[in-house]
Amino acid sequence: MTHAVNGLRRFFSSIRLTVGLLFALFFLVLFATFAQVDLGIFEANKKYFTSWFIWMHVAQIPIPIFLGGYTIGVLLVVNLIASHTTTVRLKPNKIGLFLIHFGLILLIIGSGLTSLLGQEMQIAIKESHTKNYVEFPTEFELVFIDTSATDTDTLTNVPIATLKKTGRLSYKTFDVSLNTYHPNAIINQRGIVNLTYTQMGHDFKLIGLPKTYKSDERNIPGIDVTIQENNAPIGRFIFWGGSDLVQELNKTTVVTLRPKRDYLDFSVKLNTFSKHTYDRSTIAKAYESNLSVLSSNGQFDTVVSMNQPLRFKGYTFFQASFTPDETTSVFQVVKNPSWIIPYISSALIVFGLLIQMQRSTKRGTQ
Amino acid sequence: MKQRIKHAIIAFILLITAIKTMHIPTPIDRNIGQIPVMHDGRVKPFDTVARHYLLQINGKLSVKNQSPSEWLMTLLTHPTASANDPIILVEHPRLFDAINPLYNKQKFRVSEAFLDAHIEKLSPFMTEALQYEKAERTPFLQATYLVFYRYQLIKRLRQSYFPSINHSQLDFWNTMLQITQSFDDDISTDSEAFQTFSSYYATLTTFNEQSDPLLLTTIHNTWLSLPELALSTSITAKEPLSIALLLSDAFQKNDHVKIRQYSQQLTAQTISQLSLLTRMQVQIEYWFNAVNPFIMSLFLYLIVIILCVFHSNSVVSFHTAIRFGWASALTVHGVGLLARSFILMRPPVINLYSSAIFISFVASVIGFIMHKRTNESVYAISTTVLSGLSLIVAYHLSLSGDTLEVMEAVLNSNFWLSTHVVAMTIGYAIIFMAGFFAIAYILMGTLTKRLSPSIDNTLCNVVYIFLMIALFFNVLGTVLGGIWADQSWGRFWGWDPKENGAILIVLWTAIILHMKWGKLISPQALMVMTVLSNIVTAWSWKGTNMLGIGLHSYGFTEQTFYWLILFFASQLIIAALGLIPRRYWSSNQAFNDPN
Repeated sequence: MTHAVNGLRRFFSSIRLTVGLLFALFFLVLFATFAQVDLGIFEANKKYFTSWFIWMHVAQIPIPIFLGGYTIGVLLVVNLIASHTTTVRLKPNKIGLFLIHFGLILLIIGSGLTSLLGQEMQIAIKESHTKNYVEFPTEFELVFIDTSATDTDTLTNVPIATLKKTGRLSYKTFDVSLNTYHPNAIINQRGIVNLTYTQMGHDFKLIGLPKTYKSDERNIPGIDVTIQENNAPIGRFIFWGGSDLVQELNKTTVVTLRPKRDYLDFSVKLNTFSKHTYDRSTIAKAYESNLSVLSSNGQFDTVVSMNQPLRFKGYTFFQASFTPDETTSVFQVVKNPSWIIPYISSALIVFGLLIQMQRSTKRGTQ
Repeated sequence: MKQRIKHAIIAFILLITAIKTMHIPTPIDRNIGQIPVMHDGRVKPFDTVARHYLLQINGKLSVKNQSPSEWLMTLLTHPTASANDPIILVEHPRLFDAINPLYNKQKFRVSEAFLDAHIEKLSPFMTEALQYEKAERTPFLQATYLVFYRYQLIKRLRQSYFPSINHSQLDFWNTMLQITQSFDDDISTDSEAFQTFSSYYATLTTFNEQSDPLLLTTIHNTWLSLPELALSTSITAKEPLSIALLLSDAFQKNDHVKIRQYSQQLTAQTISQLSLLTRMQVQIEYWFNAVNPFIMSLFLYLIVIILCVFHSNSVVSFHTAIRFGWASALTVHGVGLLARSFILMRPPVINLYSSAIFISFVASVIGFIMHKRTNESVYAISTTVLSGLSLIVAYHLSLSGDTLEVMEAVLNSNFWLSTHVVAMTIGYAIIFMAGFFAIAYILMGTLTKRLSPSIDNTLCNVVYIFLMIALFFNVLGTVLGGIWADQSWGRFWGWDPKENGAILIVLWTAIILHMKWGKLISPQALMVMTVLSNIVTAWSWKGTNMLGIGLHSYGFTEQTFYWLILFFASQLIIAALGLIPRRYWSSNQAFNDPN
């Protein structure tokens, strides 16, 4: 028994395992880079890095063909901890090595935390408009809005993924059943009225597109549903995630399909957006958004530009893009409680490497 | 005595090489080449703009009997001149082979007049080419696209100075002024004089709507083109206009005295409006173009390489000569880098081109110090070869256009450029040095009898130390890049291809080092792995840009791809050579031979 434990311990703390894992990671990164050409960065990452195994489908049977990023990460952490508790003990001459490896463990854990806790959102604000929410650009929700109260609306959100899975959902006395779902779609005017549909579907047609994997394009879903109230049909609807249009179910209930929102306890107003170009050329020198932030603590003005984000209440607003008419500014909004970890861990690694490098060069020249 | 003659000869060769690689300006060139112009967001000497357009159209910097400045000035001021000169580069054998069988080759040049007659035949292909992104076009469609682009560029340049009448731009303006004088303020709009005037006026305004005019003068901190000066309501705008038109006239008449007079006047006029810094930048850029420092240092490195070869194959010592040649190459190289930084007010590395120049410089400086301390020729040969190759790569990258470009908003940060990019590039330089020492080790060991046990030992040590230092700089550069990304996009790491490339180098170096620490690798295998690191580094440095995705992919030409493959193949061959068992190595036999 102890023999087996010792063997296992020796295996997990061995430098051979380290080298093997580093090789595995090397090829994983290489394959992922090539895969990005076809799949786009987002899909390739999902397949190679945020996975336990890389699967290949042979006659629709998934077969694991390589270790995924999670597996390699976990094994590397185990390997590091095991080797530092057995063979490589803390000694003054190994302090650099310890710093590097401890920094690495922290870095791997940190990136795990980021993928768990970090949220990437987006918001587009038009000049002199104010918004108090940010959006998840890839997650869509069917939102039922109850307007019966005079002062506030009551929202009920259903992720479109849920509807896609179950095919139907209920809201109060309403029943929604899914006819078709397009992960990426556009709408176009029909030209003639289609009486099968009510409201938007009357004049507009939902057209499914192949899913896009390009980094500069976005999938906007569309659904075709039938809605009943108390088992009596009220009509067939189309909803499309790219339009703000709300459709009525009855006098006090409206529905829309839109990106999932995260409501903030402050609001952001875009005063002006400006794009500066180099003298008499079309080459952009800087993008700048003049913002006013309104919160319960009062109001302050700030400027967000490239390399100069706004950090407020756990959210960070980055200048990401703008509309061609240069009146709407688009921000990437990130909420990542573990953002400090990579800073600490990389400082440890760099410092450790510096110590280690000095030692080796000294030893080498002697 | 002999020693002195040898040194004199070598100094003479170095001097001749230096002079030969310069673009020594002609008198005309010296006058018009220094006129400051606003182009692509930066004040440049006219000479730079001329080189830029000539490269775009001709693919190289030489035209028959003309300097780039003279060529561009001719194009700007004569509406039809040089229409028959074959200067438009065509890069596909199938484009015009039906018209002229002589054009059935990969690269040739045709004249503007030839394209006037035949380009219509290519229109359908151009329409097709425009439907695709650059990366998706076939070579034929891409060549078509480029021919159209170059042809239209010439046409546009001819429209970017001033309108002309009877081939004279001065006459156009004088006639227009005369007509204006000839009629009274209350002239009827039906009169012939008014009609003529309005047609002139219309021509001028059409010219003014040019998308990319030549911005020749600055009035009250605004750069203006000649039609803008003509239409301006400011009377101060008229003086530079008349100088520019007189210059055009002098150029047409090939009157050297007047060309000199007017271009100096025009330069003086503009310069008086510029800050001292900008003036110095324009001056330095003009001389930078003329001296051509990186090509000069490339040839000086070549001479050093040749001297190294002589040195190791003869009894005569060339140490002093090597050191002197190398020091001159380094000086020219360093001054060139400083000049670039001064012209742009940027750190030395801002794009792929300057990273090649910088890699070459860093390697050269380190190699020079090592050689000075040890007198070991192997350091001299491997580093100068690396520096030379890197400068050749830079030269090819420079053919794609202006290398002194202003920075796009995303990259517009001197702090991050000088920390992340410089650290990264130093890392590339050092790992390439380790790779080239490893190549030297394998080639010396297998093919020659020079790898003595002491050199063997030294090289193993040096490669190990360089791998350590490279690991440090690559990690530092990558981490700084992460922080930059986190500051700009809120994302420390995004698995962008360039980031993946950086992590590949770090991983590969870490693998080699761990294998050494774990005693899993022989010195010989370590060298083979280090040679392979050249492939990893070259891939990360250049190859990832070819994938054309992500935020980092800045430019690539297809030719680069073939050279990269060739480089990979050469490294694989050397690595394979290194895998030959030690007992078959020439050096091994030499040093183990009991006799």
